[in-house]
Amino acid sequence: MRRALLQPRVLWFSLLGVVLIVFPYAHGWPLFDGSINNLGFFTVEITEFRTFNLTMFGVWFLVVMSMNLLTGSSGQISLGHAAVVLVGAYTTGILFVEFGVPLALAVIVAGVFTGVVGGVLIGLPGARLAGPYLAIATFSLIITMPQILKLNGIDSLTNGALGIGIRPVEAPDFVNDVLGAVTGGAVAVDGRQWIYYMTIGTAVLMAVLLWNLTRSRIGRAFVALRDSEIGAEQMGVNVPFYKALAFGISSFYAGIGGGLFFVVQTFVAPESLRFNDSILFLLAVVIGGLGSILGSVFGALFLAFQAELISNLPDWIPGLSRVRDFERLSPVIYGSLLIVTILTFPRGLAGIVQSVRSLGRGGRNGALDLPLLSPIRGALRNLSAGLLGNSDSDGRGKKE
Amino acid sequence: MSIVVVLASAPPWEDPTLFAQQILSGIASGSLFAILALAIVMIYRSTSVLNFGQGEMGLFGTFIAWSFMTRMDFWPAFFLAILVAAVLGAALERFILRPVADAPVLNSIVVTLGLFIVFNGLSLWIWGSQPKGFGPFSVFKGAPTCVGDVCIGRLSIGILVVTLVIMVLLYLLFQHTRLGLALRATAQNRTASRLVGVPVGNMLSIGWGLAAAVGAVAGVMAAQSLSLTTGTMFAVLLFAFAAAVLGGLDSPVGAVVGGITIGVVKNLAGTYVPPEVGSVDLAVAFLVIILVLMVRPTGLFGRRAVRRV
Repeated sequence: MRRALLQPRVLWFSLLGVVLIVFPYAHGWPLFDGSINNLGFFTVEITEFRTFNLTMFGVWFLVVMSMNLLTGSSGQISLGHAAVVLVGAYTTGILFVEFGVPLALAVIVAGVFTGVVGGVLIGLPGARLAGPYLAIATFSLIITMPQILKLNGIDSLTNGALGIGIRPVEAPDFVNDVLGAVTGGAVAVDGRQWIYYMTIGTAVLMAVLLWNLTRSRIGRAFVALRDSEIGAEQMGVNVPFYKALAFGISSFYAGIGGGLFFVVQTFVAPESLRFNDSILFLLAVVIGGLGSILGSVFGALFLAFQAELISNLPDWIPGLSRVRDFERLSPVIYGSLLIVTILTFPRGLAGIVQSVRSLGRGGRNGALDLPLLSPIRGALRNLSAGLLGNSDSDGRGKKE
Repeated sequence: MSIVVVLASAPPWEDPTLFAQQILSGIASGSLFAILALAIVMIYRSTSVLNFGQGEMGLFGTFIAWSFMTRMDFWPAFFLAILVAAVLGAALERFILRPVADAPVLNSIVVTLGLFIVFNGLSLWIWGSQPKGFGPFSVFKGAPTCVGDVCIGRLSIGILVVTLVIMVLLYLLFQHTRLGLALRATAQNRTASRLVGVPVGNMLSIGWGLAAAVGAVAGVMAAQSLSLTTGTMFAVLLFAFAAAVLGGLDSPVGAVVGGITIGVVKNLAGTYVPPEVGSVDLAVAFLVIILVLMVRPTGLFGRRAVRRV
């Protein structure tokens, strides 16, 4: 049976593509300059800053996909992903500043380099380690990373504690020449818009690649690993190889993300990304949804907008403005969010979306067995078990 | 090609006093790591949960002790803070950790990471980022004791003694009381313990409470020898993990031996690695962790876990 070309899905993706393409120009349009109440109940105002916001979204999207591939798909825990991203950023910076490699090429080389380093130096030894041990190893990596970057032997490359900075990127001339010729000089791309297109383009391309990867033989091997290592071994999966491969591919994504992080921020220092950022990445993956690309989108949106969200909360929730130093509470809020999410919705926002969608299709079972409700029911049961001292588990998790 | 080794200080055979001094202070700072490692190992042994929040929970307890000290002397404040930490630890186990007890490892690690940033953030929010003056107090302050040219501070002796006291108390509790027997039984086989009438849930809470109390002691001792800020326990946690991994994650004896070894190695590296290289104390812990995990993941004293599928 041939599928119709104009499925709703194709339509939605095309619409999203158009929005992403015109977005960096939207801040000039009268519809979005904040003078008109364009949504009826809420005024959407698009400022130039939003382009930068979305560019960072692209960077975080790559990083969250990287975490998600490792943790969500292959079940390995990395608390050191901030360090891996940092390696990507530094490699890009060093290649560009010290060796004069063109920036775009530097980002790609940094991705490959980070991938190889992550796969061989962390992935291969890590393949022998069970969950808690890998967590400790990667935890020690991120805590030690600033000290390693500041070591005197390599500070001629890394510039020690000062870090590496570059001037903001400009769009290549030929792009503006071509655009000018085609549109008669009506449209031009400035540096900010150019880096936006490059980042979003890379992120979308690599999301498509990841989508295909997770549906390939390799992706299925990862999932088999996650669900049961011994089971996977019995099925003929080469466990150490695939574990290292997952780490390598994940580091490749993190390295590209790190390279773009450097290009977008135009600066990197040993403490640009720290342990707290690693936890934030993990939070993004968990609240977004483990093992799903949609989850990575949610996670990256969270990372891109979390700071703004926290500082705006007191405006939206009346009582909060009376709380002393509210912004300092953000780690407490994030930590609580992390704990509450893993206790109540282990599949994150993407899991909720999936549940709602299957609910829309009528669901398989009776109303009481909707998948959306089961985590809530589980949480309630856990809570009551905690209160009443009945330590029976709800059987939600798997035990090997 | 010859490798030229440049030492920061005279090599041990030329300056044995310095060497002995560094070993001694290494043992003292190592016992600090040992206390925190002990707390981590106690929890890992009984619940298979790796508590990343251990250091920050201890820090929170230390800040509580600091607040109490505005109203009372050191010792009452110390013991009150330990009590608060123990109650807090038990409550955390009951309401936050128990729901993920049977979930995949990832879930419990995520929860303890959540505890890490919650307690660090709470300390920052309540007590601010300014370093607090914290001791040394009472018996821990005073002139150092010297034998020949080798000296040891009162605080260092204090930390060593506190470590020994904790070890003896834990040993007596675990080996010579009914409660200890029940705790050990729970750690070994939960189902069987439940069948013979051990209140397993309560035992797990008590285990967490005990570990939190030990962690708070580690915090108070660390704050006296370093300083009391929200960043005090970061490095201590790393060294404690290195200690626990070196000794074996499920071995209390290993935690102490590992802690002291890490302390000595860190001190020697600080003395003999030339300053041109840069500071390497964290890198030493990192190297130890990586080497142990690559060569002998069970550590020096750990048992190999064999699981039935």
